[in-house]
Amino acid sequence: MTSNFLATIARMFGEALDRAPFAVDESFFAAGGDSLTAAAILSRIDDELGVSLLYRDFLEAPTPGRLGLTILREHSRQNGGDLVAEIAALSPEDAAVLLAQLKASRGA
Amino acid sequence: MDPEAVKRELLALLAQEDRPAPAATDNPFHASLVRLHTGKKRPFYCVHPGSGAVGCFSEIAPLVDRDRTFIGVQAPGIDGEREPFNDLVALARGYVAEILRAQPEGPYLLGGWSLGGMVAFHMAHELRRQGAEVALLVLFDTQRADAMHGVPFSREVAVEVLYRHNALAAEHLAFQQGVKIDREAVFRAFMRERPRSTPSRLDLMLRLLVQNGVFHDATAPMFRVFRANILALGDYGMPVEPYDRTLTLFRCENDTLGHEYTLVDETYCWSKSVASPVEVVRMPTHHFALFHGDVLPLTAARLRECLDRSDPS
Repeated sequence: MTSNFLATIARMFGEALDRAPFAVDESFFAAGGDSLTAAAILSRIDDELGVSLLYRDFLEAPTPGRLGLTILREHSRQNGGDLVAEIAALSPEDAAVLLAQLKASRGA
Repeated sequence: MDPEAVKRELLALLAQEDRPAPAATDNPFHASLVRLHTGKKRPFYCVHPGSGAVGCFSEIAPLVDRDRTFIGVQAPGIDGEREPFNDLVALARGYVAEILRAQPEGPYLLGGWSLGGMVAFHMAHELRRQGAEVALLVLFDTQRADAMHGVPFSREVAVEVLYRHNALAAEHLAFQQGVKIDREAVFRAFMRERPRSTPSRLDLMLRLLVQNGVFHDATAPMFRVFRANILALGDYGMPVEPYDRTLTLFRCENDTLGHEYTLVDETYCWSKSVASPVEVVRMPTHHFALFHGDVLPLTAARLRECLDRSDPS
């Protein structure tokens, strides 16, 4: 994973819709995204981050923060399961945001 | 919190999730429940329209109530992972089994859009038959098969109305694929070719959608599911015994076909299927616009009222 992991995802969201990067909790669909642009993002994630996701994963996590969590889980699963190394590679800022996202999605 | 503690907690939380790998499974319904929004209130399950896909609910899911979990119910085969089902009863039973697994205790809150309303109706029936409580059943502009009987159309007008509906359906499928198509051009093609049977109308629709670059060919999973669903709807037989809980119908008013139906029966004949009166919520839009654009916040607010009333937790 890159050191500015969430910023990369937020930028991909923005570029798919020709606009500025998304906020971590901003929904792709509320911003006018559709299934084809989502598919374009998923293919970039596959190319650049090495994780293949389904459209279903995107529907369930349509914000950069939540998709970031999905990517972490899937990346470690698809690459032999080293979640420890994944998380160690995150920047402290990204780790804090992801933890807040995870707690928000659960505490809900 | 210090950065290492943050990472430790993140790791601990993610590790304890222990999500089962979505490996090969014999259950065709294993991916049917799509969590479109998570909240602490009892989930609302909303069944796919003819396309079998639930992306159409992605905008409304977080808008209804940020505390309400919203689950889209999607059809097997939508990812091309297997053959689509051609039986609405089998779909309804499969979805019910998944819902019972995800939420063993009722009451259940169900809905469905268009063809999905028919499936949701069958699911509600099935849940009641198994002794479960169904607190809400919302049909989003779903017509009972006999809603069109007795509509005072001439044959020519009836055909035209049907083709307009087909053109709207084609536009909707294209929209779900992120493509805008010329609905009037689709309608004119239908008027020119005048396909008579359901399969021939599906064939023409597919041809026009392929020409417009919406689908590559007849093997496109969403079209295959759509085709299977539409044909299955024609074969579907409703339960004979009346449904013994409340049915709420969101009825679209800006729709020629719908309007004519209501002259015959303002509940699209659903009153024949339910013991108690049908609750009708009138929506100032047409069938395919219910979950997009200007009317979206209104649909969300009306649905929230229904949910709050049925599940005042």
